[in-house]
Amino acid sequence: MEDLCDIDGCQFIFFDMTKTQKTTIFFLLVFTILSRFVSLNRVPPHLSNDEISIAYDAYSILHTGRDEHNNFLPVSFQSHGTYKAPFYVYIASISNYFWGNSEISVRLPSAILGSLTVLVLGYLIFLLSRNINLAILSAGVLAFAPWHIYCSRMALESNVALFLLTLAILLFFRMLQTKKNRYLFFSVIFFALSMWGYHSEWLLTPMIMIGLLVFYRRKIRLNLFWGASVFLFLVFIFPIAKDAWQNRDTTARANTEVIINDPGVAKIINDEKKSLIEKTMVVGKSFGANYSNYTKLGHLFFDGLPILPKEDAYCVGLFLLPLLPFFLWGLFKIKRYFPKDYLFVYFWIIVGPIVPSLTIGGANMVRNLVTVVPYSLLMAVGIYDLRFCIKGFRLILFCFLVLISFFYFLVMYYYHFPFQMGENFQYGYKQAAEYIENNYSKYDRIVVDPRFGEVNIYRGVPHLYLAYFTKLEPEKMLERKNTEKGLSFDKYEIGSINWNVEKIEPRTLYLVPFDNQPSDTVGNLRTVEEIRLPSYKVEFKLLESF
Amino acid sequence: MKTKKVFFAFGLFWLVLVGGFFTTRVVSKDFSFDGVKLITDMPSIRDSIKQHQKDARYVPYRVRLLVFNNSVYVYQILRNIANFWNLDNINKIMLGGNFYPLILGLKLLWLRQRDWFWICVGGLMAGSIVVGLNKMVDVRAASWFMLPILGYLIVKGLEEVRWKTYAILMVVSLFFLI
Repeated sequence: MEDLCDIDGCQFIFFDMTKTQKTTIFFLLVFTILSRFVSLNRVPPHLSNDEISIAYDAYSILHTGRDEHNNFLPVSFQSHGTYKAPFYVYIASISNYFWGNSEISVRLPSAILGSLTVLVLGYLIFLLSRNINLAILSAGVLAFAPWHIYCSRMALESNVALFLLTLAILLFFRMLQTKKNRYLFFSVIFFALSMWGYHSEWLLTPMIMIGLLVFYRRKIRLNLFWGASVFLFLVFIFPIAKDAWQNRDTTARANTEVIINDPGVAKIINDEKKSLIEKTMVVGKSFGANYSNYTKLGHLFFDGLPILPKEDAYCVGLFLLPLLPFFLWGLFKIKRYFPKDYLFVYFWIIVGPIVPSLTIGGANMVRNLVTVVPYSLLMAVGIYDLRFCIKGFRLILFCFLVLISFFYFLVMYYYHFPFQMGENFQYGYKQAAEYIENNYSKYDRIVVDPRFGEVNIYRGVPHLYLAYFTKLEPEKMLERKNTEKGLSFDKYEIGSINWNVEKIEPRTLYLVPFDNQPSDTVGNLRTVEEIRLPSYKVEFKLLESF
Repeated sequence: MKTKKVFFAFGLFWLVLVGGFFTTRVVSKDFSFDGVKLITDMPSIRDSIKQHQKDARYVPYRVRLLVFNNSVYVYQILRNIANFWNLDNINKIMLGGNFYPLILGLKLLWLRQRDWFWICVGGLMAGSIVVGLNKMVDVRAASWFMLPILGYLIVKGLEEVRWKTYAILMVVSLFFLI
């Protein structure tokens, strides 16, 4: 086993494993695939705000080469003003080519790469520890992590970036062990791609790269290949760096999400009477509070997963609760299993939440997804180190608790989550699109009120859902007009409806939220369809004029 | 000797527990009990139980009552405790840098004086139970009666501390505290 890593290729490793290990890996793979692919179109209950933006841009790019806002092959997608990283949109356009406009086509890249992350982590841990059991255990903890399952089942840029970053780190270690420069080239390419994958990686990837260079400086022999690799990295990131620099004042995401834009912090920063030290302290304190929120055990094991409302007593954590003691134990035992690499593992654990902590909006598990890998490793180390204590009855109890808590997560995820959170996913627009697609020729105008929720508190993006699910030609969306009332394209008019002034014309279809129903005095309208949330509550109504 | 330690352990446990209820004002000076401050008075928990009992139509109603019931309060207590012991609060209670000698202190006790290890852990558990039972706690008030235990562990741990690392951690903690 000792010399396994010196032999190129993973084929040898596979043949050297015991039957039990091979069987475990097989079942782990099956489980990983099942947990990430089953009912992908049904849970989460609807494409979210960000997912539909990616889905529509992918569809539009595939057919016109332009995004929703008419930008030709952009390196930053404007979306709803959030300026998304480009990698996901481009790979989603490939899946859109094969699977058309559906939830599956947009979520598939995330599910595939999320499943592969489990494999990559397993192999990475094997390279570092030369311990196949620990590698399987680490992959298993990640495969079972509600956090990773949730993120792999949604079209999330951060999940793709996590795969790219983990693969880049894996290739870096392969390069160190085999001394083959091709691994360095691929590593650098994947590091650069991770920066195309998600905004957090703009800072995190360079930090990880610097960390690797510092911790492994004695193993690295700088030569021409290193120079070429650095050049390659710079070439790869040049387009996004250029775009971010050119649009730094108006569009760069960093401008909208960084903690200095938090109203409380911004007030002090803009106060000329405050000294630089005071301003630094305020930013530092805000950062510290965020960092603490990202790392607190309550967030990780009790209530971090947003599948139920935060105030719900049955909230679920990012990891399975029975693994909490092993997480703490693993924190102190990393050195035992990674004597040469423990500093890098600690470094990854510490820097992971730094970038998300620099942003506003509270603890966001999507932004912090990159730490799922080292945290899984901690738990695996904890379990592995205590394996001699977990025997007989304790082993049965441990397995029972893990299975019960995973089953509990499944019940919450597959049943209660769609039931309670449908509205948060703008549930109903796809169902409305299905009606519109079947009755499109019956209407000359389709008027949509984009508000929804209790007292119309939210404002959605129905134009994207309707255009995507009715497969409207993207060219028509590119010709859209922003009028006083709202957005207008093809037959669609998107804007708040005031029934007191609305002129009801014949052959018009209205899509309205349940809290903006016309009164009885508004004539010539009849309900053609009611759209209900998974909780059976009416969310939208489709009305037609006659 | 053993009996003395057992008495001391129980005494400490009760002292931290009752003291914690005093400092968090669940029990006031006239020994009146204010149950409104406890999680047992949280409408959101009662609502959650009812909501899930109603929603979980995939199992018969009787089974729902077995799954979704008052046992969730235990989960809520653990959740409160886990949320309380975060880096920010640890920094407020004892300065984050002191967490390092505290862990070393616990380790030393575990290796050399197992009885005292359990006495200290018991005391900290009593303080954590107070935190877990409270709806919302003031960090400093809730930790007041745990401070002697924390201080003891920190002093113990100072024997093995690497002073350079300790100094760096203290400076960083101070930066985030001020």
